[in-house]
Amino acid sequence: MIQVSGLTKDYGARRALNSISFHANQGEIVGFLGPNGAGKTTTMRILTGYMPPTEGTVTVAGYDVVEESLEVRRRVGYMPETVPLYEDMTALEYLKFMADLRHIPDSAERAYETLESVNLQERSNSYIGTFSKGMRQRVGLAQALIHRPEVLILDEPTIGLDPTQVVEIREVIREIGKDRTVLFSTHILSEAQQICDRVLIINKGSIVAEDTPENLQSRLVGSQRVVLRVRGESDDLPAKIKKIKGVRDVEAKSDGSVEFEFSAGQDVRPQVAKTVIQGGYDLLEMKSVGMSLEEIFLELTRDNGSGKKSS
Amino acid sequence: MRNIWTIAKREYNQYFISPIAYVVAVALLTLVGGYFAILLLAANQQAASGFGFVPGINEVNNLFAFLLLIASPALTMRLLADETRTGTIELLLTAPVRDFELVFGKWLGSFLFVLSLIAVTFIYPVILNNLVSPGIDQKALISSYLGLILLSASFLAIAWDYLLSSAIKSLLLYPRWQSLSPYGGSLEFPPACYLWEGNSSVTW
Repeated sequence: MIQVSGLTKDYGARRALNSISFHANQGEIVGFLGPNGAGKTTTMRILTGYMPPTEGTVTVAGYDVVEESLEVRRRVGYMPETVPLYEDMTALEYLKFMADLRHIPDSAERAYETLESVNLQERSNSYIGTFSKGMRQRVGLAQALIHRPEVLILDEPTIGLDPTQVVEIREVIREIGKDRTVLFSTHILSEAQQICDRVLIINKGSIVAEDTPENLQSRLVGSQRVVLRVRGESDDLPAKIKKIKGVRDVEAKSDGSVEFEFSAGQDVRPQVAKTVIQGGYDLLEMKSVGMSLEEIFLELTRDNGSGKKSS
Repeated sequence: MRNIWTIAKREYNQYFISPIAYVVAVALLTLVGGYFAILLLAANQQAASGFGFVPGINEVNNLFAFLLLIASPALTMRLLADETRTGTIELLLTAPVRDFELVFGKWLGSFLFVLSLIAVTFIYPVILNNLVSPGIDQKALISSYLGLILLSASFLAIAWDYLLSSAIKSLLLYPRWQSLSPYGGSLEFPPACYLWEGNSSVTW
């Protein structure tokens, strides 16, 4: 659905995108991760036909974004980072306007349906200027969904939302992603992990990694670290855990918890749990201390060689 | 064509919630109305002294046309400024709308607003027609209004064009315009550049 090859974009003397290539298939949710200024928004703006690329070809749904810009724009739903809203229109008027621009028959009806799908039907006749950040975000999403696009491009859709709304929006994205292509950018790795089929990490205008979230994390981390919290009498647990094959670097913390590492792809957690129970301890908590996005970035930008290899 | 109408309709409605449009409308209609009243009073007095003149609608429309020259930039200013300020231009330029439809639709919206103002002034010829006998010259009236309407259309087009081209010029003069933008490095006028360079040849 989306095919990007050799995409380069210069802003004057500054190169924002340096020959990036990627693709996204139908029914695939692709997450776009990267620090500020990495080129996420620039890429999305080129994909939606807002800006022309300096070099390279981009096709969306089989149409070239430069040559057949209108065809692309008909098939893409786009929600920019700063949600573009007319504050002095009501939510319904705004969506009706967008539906009219896209030549949707019965635009008022469709506008209302779409508002319902983002749970804003009670505020359909309120002015957008009075809306909270989360509600604006949802109006923006409704605007991107109104023509039921084949390709949905969302620039940081969950920013500024409260936790319930974040879950709702993710649910919406996952629902759409079942049969359509979704490309969305985010800062939050756990978010990408939850909903993406594939993650692209972009840094300084280049794609530094591309993989499924699980692979990416395990490859980058190499090993997984787990914190174990138990309640029990004796203190021979660290020694017992150390004996399990695959466990490394066991560390007894002063607060009674135990930390250990194991190699990715060789999950020792079931054995560890068994050992704990058989040793007469109560298992209170076992959680993995995953690498945060920040750490992954540091990893990727510190060692550019391995980063390039992986993409 | 449908897009032009959709955009024009929104722009037109937008004028009725914008303070600038009300300021322009009040100023314009007060001045023209006042001038018409003075004209009638003067004609009345002169008639009493025996050297009467017949006030024509042309004098009123001349003033109106002159005032429109000043009002046009004020009316077209918000067509682009608001969209770039709130980022909604990104919405319009990524919607399946041709650049030509966007530019023409916005102009049409402002033109329709001025047409509404002109329609209000149409009470003056009606009043005048009742006051003078045997009524005013219909052909002169029609041509006077036709002239006013066409003139307002071109004033608005010039003001709107000037706005667009100055946006482009600021791009051409300052290649690193992002750093000059008051919005902290955001893209201030990419639409205008795209409008002309990017896909105009493709979509027109």
